[in-house]
Amino acid sequence: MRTTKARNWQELVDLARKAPRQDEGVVNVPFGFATRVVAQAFAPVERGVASLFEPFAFRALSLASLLAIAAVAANVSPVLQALGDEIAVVNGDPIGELLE
Amino acid sequence: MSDAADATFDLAGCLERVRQSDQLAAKELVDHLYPLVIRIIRAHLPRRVAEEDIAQDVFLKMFTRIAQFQGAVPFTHWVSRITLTTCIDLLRQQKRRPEFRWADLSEDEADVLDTVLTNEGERAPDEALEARELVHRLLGELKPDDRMVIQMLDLEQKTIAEIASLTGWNTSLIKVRAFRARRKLRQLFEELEKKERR
Repeated sequence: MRTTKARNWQELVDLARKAPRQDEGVVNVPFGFATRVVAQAFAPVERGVASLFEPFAFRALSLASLLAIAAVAANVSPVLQALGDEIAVVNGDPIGELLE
Repeated sequence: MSDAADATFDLAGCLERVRQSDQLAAKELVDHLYPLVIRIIRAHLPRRVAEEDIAQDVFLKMFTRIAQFQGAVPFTHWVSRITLTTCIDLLRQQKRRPEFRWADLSEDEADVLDTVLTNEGERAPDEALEARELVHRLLGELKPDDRMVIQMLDLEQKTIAEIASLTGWNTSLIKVRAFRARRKLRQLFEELEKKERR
């Protein structure tokens, strides 16, 4: 069963539908409209030199990502080794060593 | 364009020529489709918008994407869909309207709303214009997608299948949007009724 509010809306819509529609009647194309639109649609797109590389941009990004991962993989063990040495130096007791 | 001209227009041939970059054919296509596009814009956007600029935007999109048209749906449906999507995008860009208030209504609009809310009095036929204005004000309170669905369902009396064909949305989504829109409209009526009683 419909609620009162739903009926309110339906009554309002039923009444609104009786109003003459503003989109009825003959619609004339504004003078020069088609010419303007077509000229814009078919205008040659000016492309700069940089745009020549656009088709390769995605491939270049993939290649750069792969190289970055490879660089990290290749250098991870020397970096870890250097870090380990640094930690050993920091943890050492230089005063104790001097007194011995 | 008249109906007779519509009937004799060779749409398939014209499209073929447009695909071969025939500008004359492109102009004929724009002239042929302009009434369809402008009617959709007028039906779904507020009157104050620059309809010619929006129509131009629609046609530019049409020419940009024309290579993607596979013929799965009639070309006019495809163009209608582009127009509707453009309208929805514009509605989304518009700032949310302030709260719906009695004070903003004209005297005639307030009378119509009062009659509808109280279920009293006869509906005069000349109240139809005010009723339409009111409906559009209320629709303006909805989310653009929900508004589009409820407008096509209730005002234009389109079926869910027709809406699905025009918008490309599936039927479940359309039903959800209609449900959400009706719930919001009920809330609006309740709020208006409370305000009226104050």
